[in-house]
Amino acid sequence: MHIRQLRAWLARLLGIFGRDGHERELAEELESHLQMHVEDNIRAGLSPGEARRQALVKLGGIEQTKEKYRRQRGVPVLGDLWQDLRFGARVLLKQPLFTLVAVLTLALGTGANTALFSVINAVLLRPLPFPESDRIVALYETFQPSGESAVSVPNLRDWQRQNTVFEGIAAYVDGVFNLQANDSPQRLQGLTVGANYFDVLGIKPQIGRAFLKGEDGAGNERVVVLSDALWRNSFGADPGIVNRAIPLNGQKYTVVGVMPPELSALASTQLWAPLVFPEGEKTARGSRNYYVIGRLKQGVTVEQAGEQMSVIATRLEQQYPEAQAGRGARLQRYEEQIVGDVRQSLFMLMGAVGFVLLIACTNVANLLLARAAGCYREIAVRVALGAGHWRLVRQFVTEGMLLSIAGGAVGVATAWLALDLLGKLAFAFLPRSSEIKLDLRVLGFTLLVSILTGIIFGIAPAAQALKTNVQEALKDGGKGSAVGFGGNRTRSALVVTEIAAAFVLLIGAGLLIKSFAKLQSVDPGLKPENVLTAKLSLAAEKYPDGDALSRFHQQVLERVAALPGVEAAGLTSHLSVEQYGTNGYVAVEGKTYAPTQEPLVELRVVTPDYFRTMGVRLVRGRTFDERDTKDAPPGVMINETMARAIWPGEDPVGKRVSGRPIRPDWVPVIGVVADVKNMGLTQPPTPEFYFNYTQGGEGMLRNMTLAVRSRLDPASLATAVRRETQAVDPGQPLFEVQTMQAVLDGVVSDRRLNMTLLSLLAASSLVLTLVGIYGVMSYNVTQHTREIGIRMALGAQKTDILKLVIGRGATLAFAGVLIGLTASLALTRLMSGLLFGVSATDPFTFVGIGALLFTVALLACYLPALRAIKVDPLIALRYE
Amino acid sequence: MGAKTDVWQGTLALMVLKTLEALGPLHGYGIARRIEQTSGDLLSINYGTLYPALLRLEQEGYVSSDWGVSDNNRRAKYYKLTRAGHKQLAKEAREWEQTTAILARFFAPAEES
Repeated sequence: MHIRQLRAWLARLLGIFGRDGHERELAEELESHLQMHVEDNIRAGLSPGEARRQALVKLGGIEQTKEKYRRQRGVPVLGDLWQDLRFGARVLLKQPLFTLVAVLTLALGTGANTALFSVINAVLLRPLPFPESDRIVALYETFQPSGESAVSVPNLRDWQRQNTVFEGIAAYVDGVFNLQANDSPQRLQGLTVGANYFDVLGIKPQIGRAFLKGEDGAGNERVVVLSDALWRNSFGADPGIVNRAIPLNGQKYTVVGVMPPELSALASTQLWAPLVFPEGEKTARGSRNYYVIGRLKQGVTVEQAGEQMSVIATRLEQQYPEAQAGRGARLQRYEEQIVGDVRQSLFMLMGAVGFVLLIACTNVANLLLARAAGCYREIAVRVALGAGHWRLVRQFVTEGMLLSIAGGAVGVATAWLALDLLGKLAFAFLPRSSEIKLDLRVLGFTLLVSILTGIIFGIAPAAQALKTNVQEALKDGGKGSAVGFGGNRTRSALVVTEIAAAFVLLIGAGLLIKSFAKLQSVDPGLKPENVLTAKLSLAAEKYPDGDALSRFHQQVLERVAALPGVEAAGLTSHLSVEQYGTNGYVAVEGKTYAPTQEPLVELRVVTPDYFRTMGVRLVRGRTFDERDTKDAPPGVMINETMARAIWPGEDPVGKRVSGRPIRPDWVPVIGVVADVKNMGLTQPPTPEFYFNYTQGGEGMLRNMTLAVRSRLDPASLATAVRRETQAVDPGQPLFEVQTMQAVLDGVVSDRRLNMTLLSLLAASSLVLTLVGIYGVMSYNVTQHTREIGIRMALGAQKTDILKLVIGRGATLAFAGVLIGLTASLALTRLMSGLLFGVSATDPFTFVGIGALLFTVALLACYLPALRAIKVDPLIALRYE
Repeated sequence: MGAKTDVWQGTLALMVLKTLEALGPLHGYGIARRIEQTSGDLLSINYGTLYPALLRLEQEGYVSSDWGVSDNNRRAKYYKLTRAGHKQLAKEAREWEQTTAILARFFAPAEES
């Protein structure tokens, strides 16, 4: 840039300030100019008045000259910005009600967006807190036709030996850790992990060490690594904890290290111990009990690794057809495994808050438009005085920005409160929830959203200003009758947009509500009323074999059953609606299946009274009873689905099956029970068979769930049940003590949350829309008071006027509903995974919501219409 | 309007500089009248456009201004050429002559060869 130009720009920059002095000087200069010109004109023979008029014309207007001069003096954009900001703030403060409504509306929009973005930011966007976390994958076995399972020890060993794509593969599994705290035993959430587990994650302890190579061998497994949270909460963050022994499972475990806090943020695991495979599992290829993660070598993609794992799995399938027929291997980014299926819910909610923001924007745009139309004449006057059109546009946009940024600021506060509320409602179901916070990225997002909204809703009134026709406006006397009753197209378009967006939200909420209602009416196949459940995990150190386990369980059952008010008590290896079970293929006597076509059956171990306790109906045959001792010939019970699947039209009682995982011999079916929703409430029941407790293997009995049916409020039993358990073993904790109803509610809690949040958003959008339509219609009526008066004076009846106003609203509502309908048809498909028992295009919901919105729209027109028919023609004709 | 204005402003600036060189320190009204007269009243401008042009010249450092008293005892703001203004005027005058000379050749009667 030329030095002179630079100098000029500098002068102009400085020119922004000290305006008042400059203004006075300019006024004086122009005045002296005029005086000289007037004197010359008078000398030329003009009258003083004419002399001044001609001088003014020749100058081109004082104000216009000043305006041009100002543009040269400062940097127009910057100077104007400063001026606009001051002007905007003044205007907004002068209309506190308008400003309050606008800011609150925007705060709702930006607040909801900010809150949800913070969740998405933490859960989906931020990488896991591990170095190069994109190299960590989870590995599974797969089975025909489409299932995934954990991994068996021999397969894990073969994967580790044969692959060339992983730096390391590590196994882990839930462990039993009962901490003997001072007053009462405490059950800890712990994992037993391969010695290289922390290397695969790439994480180092903050104090002490991780596990050493070979530490996961028999004999030296009594060491633990603590989580930061456990270390702080239970051991007072004692830096001397390393090498100290802590009482776990009735033994002494030595603490070797403490993990950093990031790991506590990620999962609720409280401690880790080395994983020592039981002797029996080292050769049991079909016993798939371990979760596996691996770290890819540098430069290896997930796809490449997946291909190699398929090759290895195919080789194993050919080598060991007995255990591996139909089995494959699959891997998935660890991140995806942790995030699970919340992705769809989060994106749906993000879409929903986007719509709320859109509605908030259209509402504020409408408010601004109505106000701009009110200052129609003022704008014309300013244009006449030399304000450029773009200058006016900038001013409107600046005002919009002021509003939106104020809205954004209040929105951040709203988001902060919303996150607090969400924390109470939702974080239990959300992975990585403790990482959710309002960080810089979130604030940046809010700022961006605020600025965008400011531009979006500032544009409408600005465009309006651009179209202002000075002559017309000044002649018109500012009554705005240039705009016919049929309407201002921009405002109508905004209302239609708003209705359409609200329609989409309401449809989404409606579909979720209907799904949830369907879900609530699903018969779980059991009677949850008056049932209390509690979990018991028995440590191998204290209860080494089946006999020891069974002695403990038997005593607890007897004591609990004897409690006053208790009708029945039973134990199960896993509760009937919890889908994390054990399954296997079964052989059926007299039937032959292709190797991978055998029936896949869920397996549960139960005590005889379990069915009575849970209220599961016996359909045929008998239940287990005292005859079914350990040494008696075994029998199994099956559910109706299994009966239908294997013996359609036959009586299954007496037929014999063999389950490869735990019972290779032929076992007769002794009874059939009603189906329980064993895969969760949304899934159809799958074939299932039940073994009597006395026939259960040691591995299945270690983690049992106790169920107690009582005549009293089941929750009131909790203390007594805990007391009886601890009377048998004072060091044995009882955990997840909750009513069966709570268990069922827990199964659908994520859906309940989706439904609640979306309904809240839809309801607020409905209110905003109601306000929006009301605002526009009542503004219309006010603007056309005179027109209405004329019509009435010419003989229009009140019903005609009513029809006119409501008809106008109905047209808008109809257009909005139609557009919303089209958009919904496209959008609800995306949420079909979140629905249950209702189609994404459920006609009932669509019609119902359409009618609701239409009614609300008409209601919003009704008050303004009432006002319209009360117009007194005489007054209206004089109306200014 | 944009580009045309720039051309006009450039020309107007040159006329202002030339006027100040010829007449010495002068107020805005005087400059405007002089330009109109010199152009033989062919050029009719809004006097108002002169003031932003003067301000710009001042910002660029080609003119300086001071309050003074006019012939008939009126307070007025006087503009005068600075040293940089003299140089700029000489430069622009040269450029102007070149431009007109080149254009003149284009508009001269065609010589048949």
